[in-house]
Amino acid sequence: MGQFMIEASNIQKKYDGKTVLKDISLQAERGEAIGLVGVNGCGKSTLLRILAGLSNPSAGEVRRPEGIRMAFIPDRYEKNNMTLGRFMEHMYLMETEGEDHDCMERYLRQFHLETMLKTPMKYLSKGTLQKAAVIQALLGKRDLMFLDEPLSGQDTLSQMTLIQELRRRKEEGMALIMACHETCLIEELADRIYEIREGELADGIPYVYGTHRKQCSLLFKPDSRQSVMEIFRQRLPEEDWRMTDFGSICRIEADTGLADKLFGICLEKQWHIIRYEEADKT
Amino acid sequence: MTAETKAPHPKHFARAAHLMEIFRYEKEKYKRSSRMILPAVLLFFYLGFAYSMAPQYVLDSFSICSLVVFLLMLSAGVMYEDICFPMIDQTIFIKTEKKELLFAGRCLLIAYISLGAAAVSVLYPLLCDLANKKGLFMRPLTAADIISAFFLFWITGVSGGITGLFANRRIFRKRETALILSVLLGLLIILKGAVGEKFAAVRLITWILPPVYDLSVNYSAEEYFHFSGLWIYFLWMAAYTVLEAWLYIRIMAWKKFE
Repeated sequence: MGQFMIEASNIQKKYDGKTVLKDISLQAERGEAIGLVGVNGCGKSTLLRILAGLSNPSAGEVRRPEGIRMAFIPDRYEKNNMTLGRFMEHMYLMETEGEDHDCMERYLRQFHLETMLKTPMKYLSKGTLQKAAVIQALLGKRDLMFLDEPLSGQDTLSQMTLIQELRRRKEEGMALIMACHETCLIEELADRIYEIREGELADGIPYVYGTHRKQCSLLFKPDSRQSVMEIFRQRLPEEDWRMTDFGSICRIEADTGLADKLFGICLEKQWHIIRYEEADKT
Repeated sequence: MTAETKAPHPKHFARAAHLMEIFRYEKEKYKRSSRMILPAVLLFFYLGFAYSMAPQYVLDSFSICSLVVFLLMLSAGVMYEDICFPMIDQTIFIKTEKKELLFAGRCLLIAYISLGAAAVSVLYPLLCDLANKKGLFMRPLTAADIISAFFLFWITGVSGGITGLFANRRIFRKRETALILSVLLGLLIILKGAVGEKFAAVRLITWILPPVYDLSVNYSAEEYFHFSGLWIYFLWMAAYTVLEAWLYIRIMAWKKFE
């Protein structure tokens, strides 16, 4: 059993007498990513904030190892009068472990912010502000990261850059707890997915986002995006399947009976298969 | 205990550096906001009006000015809430190992703003006095007057600012409640003596308020500043302000971001 990064026991949260979360227990280990999903207002963000120590539970306890380095990517960032460059500089200087300044510059380049450093944050778009929120969290070494809709408003390239960076850090041992609707983030990173339903954690359900049908989901990276849809149309003309394009990667969902054919096509075309998942019928 | 064991732990240096960076961030945030304009204009307005008449008693004028500085810093503390960015604050809070530092940084900001207000409040009459060929006051200004006035303004300003910081949305859900209470509290603090004389029962409550009135009244009790008679009031005020800051930091760290 790996080293635990966070352990929540019997968490409850009430707002004005209304119970939002009931008796939730959760544990994440080093290098583990947990996805919290559910409909809007189900309590995902509330649970995330309690786990992150930003909000007090009405009952229950959250334990984290001493001296753990954490970060939080919120779903939005506020506009203010400071320029983006000054703001990021302050965020960098608040890191206490002497992180490399080049690291910040690299992230600013990767997220295409280097030309906006002199712009006051009040003039930035939602997506650009979101990138600032992402970069501040990536500036230092982290053991545990909390993400609340981290991709919201960002362009596809930046989304992929973030996913790649999170995957790299996860492999290095960082634990992640994500509350999100973004399918690609969950599918790319989550080891366990929990659905919050009526204030309770639906434990370990094989959740395929948005549906509970018996189906398989194949995430792959084709060499040429243009022809992918056409190839599947030609090869599976009568079958029921659905493809989602995330930019450089694609996801195809279909009945599990078609899994062999889907694999066959990907292997034949030498497309890189990232992940395969199946969901039980509910 | 050896000298080695007495040496400050590197962690303490790291925390001090982190606190200073939080303070620098808060300072820049405040400077780039427009929240300093109104208190600054009001302070200059008051100074211009108050020192337009001559001659004046030295300590009396400083004593009244300290009450004005207190009220203006109270308003600066209350208005600080308007430049709080909860999401940004949460990302800083979570990265900060010692959570109290985020709120201690705000207290440092208040001390810094108060330093500016104290400097202006001392320099303005000093320059006016020089411009009027030392005719602004009933007697010549001494170094003790200037130094004591600076500390008087600074400490009452810090107390006012920190009192104002309590008027935030995490302590008072309704902004209106916070604003009304701040106004009433501010008036009660500076009129503590007069209110206590009219309604003796009020004294049972007002002793708990910042000793701004006690300090300012005793400061102007004599013609010249005497440290021997006033140090106890300065100490009382300083201790009260430190306690107030500690209470603010503890409450905010405990309340988190509810």
